[in-house]
Amino acid sequence: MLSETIGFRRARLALAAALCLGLAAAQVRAAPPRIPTLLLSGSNNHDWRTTTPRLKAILEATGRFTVTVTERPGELTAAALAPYRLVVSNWNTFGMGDAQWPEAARRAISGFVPGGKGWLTIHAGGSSFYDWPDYQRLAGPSWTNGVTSHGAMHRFVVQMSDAGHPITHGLRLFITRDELWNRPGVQPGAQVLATAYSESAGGGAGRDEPVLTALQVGRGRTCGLTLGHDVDAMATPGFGLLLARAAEWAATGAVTQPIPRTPLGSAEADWAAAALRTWRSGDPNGIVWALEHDAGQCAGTPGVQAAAKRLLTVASDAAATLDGRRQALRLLTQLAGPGDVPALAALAKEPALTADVAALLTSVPGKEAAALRAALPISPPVRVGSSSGQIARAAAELDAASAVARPALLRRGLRGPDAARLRAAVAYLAVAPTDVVAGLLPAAAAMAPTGTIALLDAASSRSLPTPPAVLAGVLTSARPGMAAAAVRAAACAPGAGVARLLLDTAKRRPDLAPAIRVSLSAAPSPGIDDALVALAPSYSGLAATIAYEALAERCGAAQVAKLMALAEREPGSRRALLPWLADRGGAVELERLLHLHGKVPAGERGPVTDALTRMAGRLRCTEPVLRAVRRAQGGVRVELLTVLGACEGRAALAELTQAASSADPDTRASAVAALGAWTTADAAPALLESARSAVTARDRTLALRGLARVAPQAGQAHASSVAPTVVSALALADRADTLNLLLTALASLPSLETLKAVEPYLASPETTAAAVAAQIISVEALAGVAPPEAREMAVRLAASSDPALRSRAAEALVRMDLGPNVALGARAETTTSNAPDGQGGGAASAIDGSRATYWDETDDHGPYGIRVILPAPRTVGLLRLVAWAHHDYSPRDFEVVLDGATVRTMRDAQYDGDVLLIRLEPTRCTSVELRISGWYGKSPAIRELEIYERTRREP
Amino acid sequence: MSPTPVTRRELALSAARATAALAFPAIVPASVLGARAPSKRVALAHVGVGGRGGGLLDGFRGLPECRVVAVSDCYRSRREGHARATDAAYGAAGCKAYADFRDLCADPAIDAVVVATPDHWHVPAALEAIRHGKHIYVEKPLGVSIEQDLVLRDAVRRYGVVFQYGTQQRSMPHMRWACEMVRGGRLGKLRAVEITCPANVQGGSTTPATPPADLDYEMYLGPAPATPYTIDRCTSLGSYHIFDFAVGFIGGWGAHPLDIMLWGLGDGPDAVPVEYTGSATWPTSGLFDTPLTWDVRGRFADGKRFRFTAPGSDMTVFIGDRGRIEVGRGGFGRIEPASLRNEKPRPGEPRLTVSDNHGSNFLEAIRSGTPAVTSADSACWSDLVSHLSDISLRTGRTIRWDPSKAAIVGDPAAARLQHRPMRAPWRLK
Repeated sequence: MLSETIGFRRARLALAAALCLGLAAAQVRAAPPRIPTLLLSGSNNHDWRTTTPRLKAILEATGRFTVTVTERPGELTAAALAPYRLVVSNWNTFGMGDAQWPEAARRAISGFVPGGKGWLTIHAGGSSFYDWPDYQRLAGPSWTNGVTSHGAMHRFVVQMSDAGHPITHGLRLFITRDELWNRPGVQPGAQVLATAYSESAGGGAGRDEPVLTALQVGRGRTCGLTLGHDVDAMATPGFGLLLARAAEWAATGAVTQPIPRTPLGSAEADWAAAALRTWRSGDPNGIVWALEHDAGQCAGTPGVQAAAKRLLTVASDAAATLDGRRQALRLLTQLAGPGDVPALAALAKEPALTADVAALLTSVPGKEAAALRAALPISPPVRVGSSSGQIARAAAELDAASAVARPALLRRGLRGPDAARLRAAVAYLAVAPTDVVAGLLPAAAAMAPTGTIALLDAASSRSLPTPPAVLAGVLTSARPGMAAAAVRAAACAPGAGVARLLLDTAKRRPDLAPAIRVSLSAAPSPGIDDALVALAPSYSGLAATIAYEALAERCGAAQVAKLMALAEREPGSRRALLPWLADRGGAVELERLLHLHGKVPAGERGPVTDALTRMAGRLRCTEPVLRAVRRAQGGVRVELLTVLGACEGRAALAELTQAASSADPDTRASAVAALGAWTTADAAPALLESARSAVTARDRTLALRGLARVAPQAGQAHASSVAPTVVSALALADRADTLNLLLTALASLPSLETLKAVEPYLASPETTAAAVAAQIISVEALAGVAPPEAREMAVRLAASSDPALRSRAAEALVRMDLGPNVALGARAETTTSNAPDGQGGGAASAIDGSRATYWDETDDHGPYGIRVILPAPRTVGLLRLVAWAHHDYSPRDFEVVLDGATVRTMRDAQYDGDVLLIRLEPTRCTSVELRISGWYGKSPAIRELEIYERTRREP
Repeated sequence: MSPTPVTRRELALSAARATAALAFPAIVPASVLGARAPSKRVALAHVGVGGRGGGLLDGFRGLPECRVVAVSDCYRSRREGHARATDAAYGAAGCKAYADFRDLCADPAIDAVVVATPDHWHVPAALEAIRHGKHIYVEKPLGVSIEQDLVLRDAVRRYGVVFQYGTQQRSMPHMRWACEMVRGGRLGKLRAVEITCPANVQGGSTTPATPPADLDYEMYLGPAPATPYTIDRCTSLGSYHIFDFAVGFIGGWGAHPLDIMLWGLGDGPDAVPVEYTGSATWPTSGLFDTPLTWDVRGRFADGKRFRFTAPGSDMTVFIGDRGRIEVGRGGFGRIEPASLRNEKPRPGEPRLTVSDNHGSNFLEAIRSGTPAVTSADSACWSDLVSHLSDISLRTGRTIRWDPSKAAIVGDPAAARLQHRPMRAPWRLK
């Protein structure tokens, strides 16, 4: 009786608390509703009087559950269970003997989960009703007599065993102290989501035991958690996290709870560190993973130093296993800081750990770590090969020498001819300190070829400046690899003299040209820029090209004047420098280039024209070019017209128009080409005129092609003003390909003229396709206005044999019959405080007449709403909703609200493709609103919301 | 949709750029570069002739454009066995067996080197070859750290050698078709790319043992930490699943579908996702210590979603707002719309390099300067995705990648993991 009263009062309190929290939750706008949960309690061979309240507290603390406790699960009926979405069982048949629950309860329980709800069993809950299969399926892992066992309560690591499941994605492991079941029975088909390794030393089977299972039952879900022997076991944060997430998944099929940081508690971390002291390779890995997880959770937080100290203590413990100490050093990679260097210095003295300390030091920032690393003894070069006894001896000799004597030994080895000493010295160079390499460099040219190459490469890789005198000697060598190594080393050579060295080498060795260019570009001395400017003109061919290209790579905008002067003086430099100048030059350079253009011989004009064109387009100054065009004559003028084509403005257009009717064929052709590349449709009339007055077929075709290119730039908005020009051109075209180009241009200028003008071209097989395309696009564009010719054409196209064409024409017909979309030109706004989603746009995108843009707001932030406010009252009878995709990111459950009054409620909207037609009683109103409470996908996105009056006949 | 006119301005711009870019190599006469004369057979050497390496060796031996002249391996029986088999195949002696791959790389008679060692040796061995001016074919995955990938990419550029990545799926026509469809915009705007590949395995003996007499174990370890030999350490499985030698299948198998992702997205640095958050499951015992299964979720700079999971069959899934293509080594998964399956690229749409034999494509690139179907750049980018995914699993944090800095940003502790220490005296530079 007492327990009943307590249970009832607790339940009432729980309900009251839940109501308060529920109200608070409702005020937090986006919080999902709490899951009504029934917790079965009242009987268990474990201490349910303490564990039940703990379970309830854990669940309610998440804010996702309201928990009611019952101590009389046997009295449950379907009606009593109906309000709950989840049952958590902390109950088993202890004390019931062979008794069964009444039939009503059994039926209620059996039907609960398959109907779409959730069940979660804790620990021993599975030890019940072994002869009732439905209950066994709900109960999860079960105690099988004679098979299942457990040892004493102990600490162990629980690891997730499914990386993608909603319950476990984002979790890795936790340490707990609990009773671990060995060999529990697992339901067929159940997924194992978390395991713990049961060590044979503790009486376990030496294998991973399931700790959390999940099973789909009918339309619902069950989970079984074998943890939770008593309240202490339930105190672990990991237990609570897994419990709550499994509960939410069982109830809803998804998990919304956020995952907090989960470093190990200090008692657990100390336990793991202690275990690491006795760990050997081959022991279970859980301890190591737990410490790695902890390192990841502590890195970059205030807990990092404590975590590092803990691991350093293990590493420094001489009584710990070597494997454990080495693992500790590896685990410090993310954690060690400059303050740990003294401890590491002490550890580095132990020969078995030196290499691991050296490796760790490469991850520790700061001067102290770098200094320690540099001071550590380097292990000798690897001795390899069966024939390398001599090399081994030479290497040993190098190792044994003092730091003072070693450079001399190296020098002797590198000079050769003793092959073994040479090999050993070359290998040693790879690890030699920078000052030793620097000391050997001046004598590099006097070494054996292999030695020279190795020394120069050692210098390059340390960015050591190689004396130019040394380079000079080596660069002239014909032996394979020598000159190449010197070229690479030249990339760090000091002084400007190296420019001449490299250019001379380029003359002799064209095969090294790519590397020479790289080195010239990278050489550090700023004097090289001037050296190249001075030297380049005295070279020719490949060497000169390299010099100029290196200049272009090295120089910045400050040297524009200098390079401009060079380009003017030296024809050989222009190929490399003109593009550079074109990208950086200003108005002054433009004038100078125009001047140059007039002076160079015809064969060299091309690159200058190109540079001018680029510059003119970049700087947008037309005046200087116009002046130059008017001054120039002959071939110069012809090319300058091309440059004019890159300018903008009416003056340039007028000049080109005039030139397009010149008597000289070259001038005409250049002008027509320039007009054909114009960026606006303003050039269209000039091109038409040019086509009309063309003398040769070639000229005419050029002009017509140009027209086909520029006309579409007028865009749909100005289609009707430009289309007639193109239509006139149709008559002039004498080739099918030109005709098709013009017809395709008309397709970008949908209008009534287009519609009528392309009619004659439907019949001819060569032009049918382009003509039909122009027609259907015009039909679609005119669908809003629906002149009779367009309607007629649409009907004809709707009978076409091409299915794509048929459907487009049919859709256009539907829209024609609907009349104009009155949402265009209206104002749209969102009715919530949601922000537009990055990919989508604001409400205006839903009424801009373009399918490409769409209204979309932040995912999972419902409910959503959009309102269109018409400029004037209309009698609205039909809405046409174009959603983002078929049943994906589209409104599913919503109300249609006209002037504040709901006129239509949609549930489970079924789209035809991505289009939904909503017929309404014709209602005069000014605002049309959609209040969306359910959606496909994660948010409702609308490409177009079209609003139609019903003044024409029904579709 | 109306065609965009190519203005004279744009033509001039692109012509000028092309002039600047092409002028240089175009001027160098081909006869000067003797090694590129088409009639010359490429002298090929193999570093690493174990399971995969032996297979590659057989393949190259069958190609008339090359001649295998040297092999090296840490196992004496393998290198000598393959050298003898090569002599028998050519019917003439001459294939050298090197104990030390550095001697092989220094051999002036060799033009190109195939690196098929365990992963931890890929970049160090390749660098040695590159520094001797040899063209290289490197097996996937590229390196065992982000730093290694970037150093290798830089070395290929600086030394100007031909590079081929061992992602032979690029020489399969159905993969090329899929990527051409994606690049041609047939899927509309891309919304997501999903990758699956097989999972790692648990196991391996940890009992210390004596290395076999014909194995140079010290050389096998090379830059990896010194650890006692076990019977499962130097096997294929060991080379795939031990973290000292590899990152596991997230790189070792993932390299294949990730390379196809790169190919479909344009092979540029923007094809590397910029954010990674993931979970993995970890082996509870045994020698193999790379993650068993994983689920990494992230996004690209332009907002596309990225997901990389195992276990799964090897698949690259491109999802756009007008369709999707699922493609794996064995063929296609779903293709939407169904009609897309029969389509071919239209004129004007991008076409990708045609290669029907990955080895021949490499040799042709050396002999005639035609483009290889892979590149050091795309290899580096695709391998980075494996490493960034792996780092997100190991740290348990969200990893952010900045392509312009080529580094992990906002997380100094995770940035430390871009570098993997090498045991002295081996070093990258």
